[in-house]
Amino acid sequence: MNTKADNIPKALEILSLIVLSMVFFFSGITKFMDPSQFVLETYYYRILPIGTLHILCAVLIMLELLVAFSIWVPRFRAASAFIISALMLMFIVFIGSAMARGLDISCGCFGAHSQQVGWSKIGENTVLLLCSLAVFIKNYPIKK
Amino acid sequence: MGKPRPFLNLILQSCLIFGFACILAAVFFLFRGQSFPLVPDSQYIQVKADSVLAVNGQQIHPVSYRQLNKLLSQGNAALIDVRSANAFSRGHIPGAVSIPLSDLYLNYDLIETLQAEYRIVITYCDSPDCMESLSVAYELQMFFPEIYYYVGGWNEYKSR
Repeated sequence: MNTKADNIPKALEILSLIVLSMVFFFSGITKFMDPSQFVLETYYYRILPIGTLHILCAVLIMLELLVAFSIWVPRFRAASAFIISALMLMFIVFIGSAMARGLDISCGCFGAHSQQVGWSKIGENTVLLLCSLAVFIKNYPIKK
Repeated sequence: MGKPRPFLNLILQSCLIFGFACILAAVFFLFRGQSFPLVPDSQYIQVKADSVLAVNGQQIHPVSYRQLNKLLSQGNAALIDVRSANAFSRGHIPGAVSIPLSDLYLNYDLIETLQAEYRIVITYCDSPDCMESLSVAYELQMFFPEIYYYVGGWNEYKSR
């Protein structure tokens, strides 16, 4: 019996599911429509090797679209929330790294609708991380 | 009944989702073909990225072939060929006007005419190696609210 899950209201879980699936679907679809622009925005972070950009960006786009739907499947909900939490942590680290190096760049979150990197983006990503953690806690351990 | 292993199940299902995403990405590459190859052209990305970051003030955005056509189809974009007049006469993108970088200051009347009619300007030259399109775009910042430069240039356009 997952007692920690009982502390998280069902309404919060559902709200988190809606927010996460909408955000990741919109994020994935905007990048899917213009992957070249997303590659460029990823390059601006100056973290990943250029030769790997297309592969990593393509996988990330598909992963975002996939988890936007798989999080609604009860069997895969905890795993999807786990992946989303890992992604949000990665995004927070990337944005923080860009800010620390003084890069005034687009976050690359939503294609052409992206905002610049900054504390507001870190705040947004932190909220999404908390949502994904709430979903994860509510649905872990995974039952066979 | 075997002992439940929630952490192992979590890892396995996460790998399953990630693996499926990789398969979808592989399909994505198959459909995209040359427009989005497995390994990108490093120089192409560097030229685009460095040129945009180097320009202060108003952002001048690089556009791809597809983005160029989309902007032109909207009907409110002026297209400027910054190559020499000879190069322009040998072939140019339909709808472009010739304003070579070397003659920029001689064409202010034409620029003001374009400014009255269009709110977007797109410049291009030969190829990603040619930076004149960016130089002209930089000079046009005071005239147009939205400025783009077609990175691929005439060489890419005529090959399509």
